[in-house]
Amino acid sequence: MSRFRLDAGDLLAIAIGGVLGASARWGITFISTDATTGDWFVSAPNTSLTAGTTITGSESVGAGHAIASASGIPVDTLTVNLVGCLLLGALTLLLIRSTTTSRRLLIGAATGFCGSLTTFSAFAVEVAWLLRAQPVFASRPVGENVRFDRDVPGLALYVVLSIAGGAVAFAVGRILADRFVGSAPNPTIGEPA
Amino acid sequence: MTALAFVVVAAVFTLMRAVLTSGQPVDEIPWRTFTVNISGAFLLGIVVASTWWNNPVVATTAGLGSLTTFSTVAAEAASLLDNGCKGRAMAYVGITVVAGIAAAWFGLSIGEMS
Repeated sequence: MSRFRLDAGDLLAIAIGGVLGASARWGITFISTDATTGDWFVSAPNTSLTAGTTITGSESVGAGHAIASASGIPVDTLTVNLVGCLLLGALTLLLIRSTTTSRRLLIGAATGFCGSLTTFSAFAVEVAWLLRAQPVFASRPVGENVRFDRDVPGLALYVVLSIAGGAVAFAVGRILADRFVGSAPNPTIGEPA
Repeated sequence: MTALAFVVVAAVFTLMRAVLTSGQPVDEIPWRTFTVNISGAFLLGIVVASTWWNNPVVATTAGLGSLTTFSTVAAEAASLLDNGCKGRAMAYVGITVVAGIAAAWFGLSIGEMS
């Protein structure tokens, strides 16, 4: 995202920022997951199915198995992505106006922290997964006999909230940074991020 | 042990992304970021659908989560807009989303075979 040449100190700052960003993302995922299912989706018991029923793409329902259908918006991924876009919007403006001493910290925060706090792969897999409407995560206990509803309105909302929300959050971050930091451009260092 | 692996993997994959995506022109579609994100979505699809990967948190959350990035896409699209490339900004976001979901779908299909 930057045309700066990265030196060893920049890489160290990016690595530290990356670890903090990934840890923060893990923490947000951890606190937002459902304690009973261990995952982000809403899982509700489905009493319309009885033992012995075969669910599409799954094994037949055993007598002792919980039967559930799952749908919902992955709020943890949405949260980290929107917060990361807001932060990065502010940081890109600060980078343009940075001095040499603060530049490394800002690069670590932008490329490292924001880059790793936000994630594209989880977004893509969640959308694909819910579009498929069939159980994956077979290694997890919840994978058994959980039917994934193809919740198209919910999915569309998730995609729109992520993309449009990300753009808005980025713009807001930039405006807020501009307002609070004020204009102190440094033309010798400044470069569009 | 898992915590140490998490830190090391997150650092390594963040650096991989930083090195692979640095220095892209601000007025063209950033194809290297696109490639990193699509590859990461594909690989994450494989890992989460595989039955042989019991505790994938290091590979998924630390590794592929850090390799791919969402905020940079927003920054790059904004940068394209700032440089007067409105069409490219729209195209970049559009193909990233569509190709990412397709790659993830493909990855899930492959992972389920394992």
